[in-house]
Amino acid sequence: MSPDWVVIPAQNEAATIADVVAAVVQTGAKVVVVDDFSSDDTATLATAAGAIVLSLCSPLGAWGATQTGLRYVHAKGAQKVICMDADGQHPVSAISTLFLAQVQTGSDLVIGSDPSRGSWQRKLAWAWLRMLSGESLRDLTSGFRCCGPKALEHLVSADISLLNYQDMGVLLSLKRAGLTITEVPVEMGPRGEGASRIFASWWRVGLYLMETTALTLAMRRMR
Amino acid sequence: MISYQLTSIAIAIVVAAMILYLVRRNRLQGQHSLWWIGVALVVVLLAAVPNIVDRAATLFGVSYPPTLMLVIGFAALLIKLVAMDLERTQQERRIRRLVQRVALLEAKLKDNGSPDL
Repeated sequence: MSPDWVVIPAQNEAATIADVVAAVVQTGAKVVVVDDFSSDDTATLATAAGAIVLSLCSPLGAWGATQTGLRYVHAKGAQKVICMDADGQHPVSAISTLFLAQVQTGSDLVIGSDPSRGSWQRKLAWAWLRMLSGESLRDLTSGFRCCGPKALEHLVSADISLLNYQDMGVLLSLKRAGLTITEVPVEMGPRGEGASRIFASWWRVGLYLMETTALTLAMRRMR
Repeated sequence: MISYQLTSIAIAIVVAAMILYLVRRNRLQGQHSLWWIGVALVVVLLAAVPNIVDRAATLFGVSYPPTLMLVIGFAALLIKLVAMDLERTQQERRIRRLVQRVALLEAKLKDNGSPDL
């Protein structure tokens, strides 16, 4: 059992994009690569590897790019869609695991999570955000996801176009809309090339944490 | 020595003239021009009738009238700043949706066999 659509946001991922796209195309899925204003050959390589490429004329970040892909497949009438990173850390073989988990659990969003990955800083950040949000998800930043129809419908709306990161804001927005989220353990590989866009420097981590903290507090469900 | 009233009327006139000039030159439009014209009017009013502040201070129980002026002015600036950020947010949302839509439309064009833009 495999999904019809796979969305891959990519910014300057020329080193890995061709392999990732080719591997996903092999599974029979239609691949949509959203080129987030890359300055390298990402778009050309992705097209050559068999992907439909959407090119952004201004950088929107990982979430803005992903949402573009979601809008595309939504307009094409997709019911379910897989989102994954372009850097090769998400194993293509796990796509069917995620998809199957979505079908079996009926969850609106299934996250492929690997809490073992990442530095202690990342784990500390996760623990902090988990505490603030009151949610029990283990891997908060994973971009490896399967959206069901309701989640897809929710995620294409203009209300969440302003998010700067794809993690907490997206998850809390789904939760607040009453949608369900399930995590499935997935063993992620090392990043093929390049580092995390967020966990790259202390300055960016600080900005990310402060912004996400404010967002989490603002979106927290009243109880 | 020039009187206090003359100084403030001069300032008010300069502010008002500047705003009208900017509107005339299409540099400042819509609700923005309204706010700043309002500011110019208030400055003119305060210049023309300076004892308004004193009376208002007495009314609100403020013993040192200039404080009232500063507090109100500061509050107005804060409100204006928040309003500006609200608007910037709105614009940012529109720009992002537009960038996404351009990408979607380009893909559609390509689907229909149009050459690359």
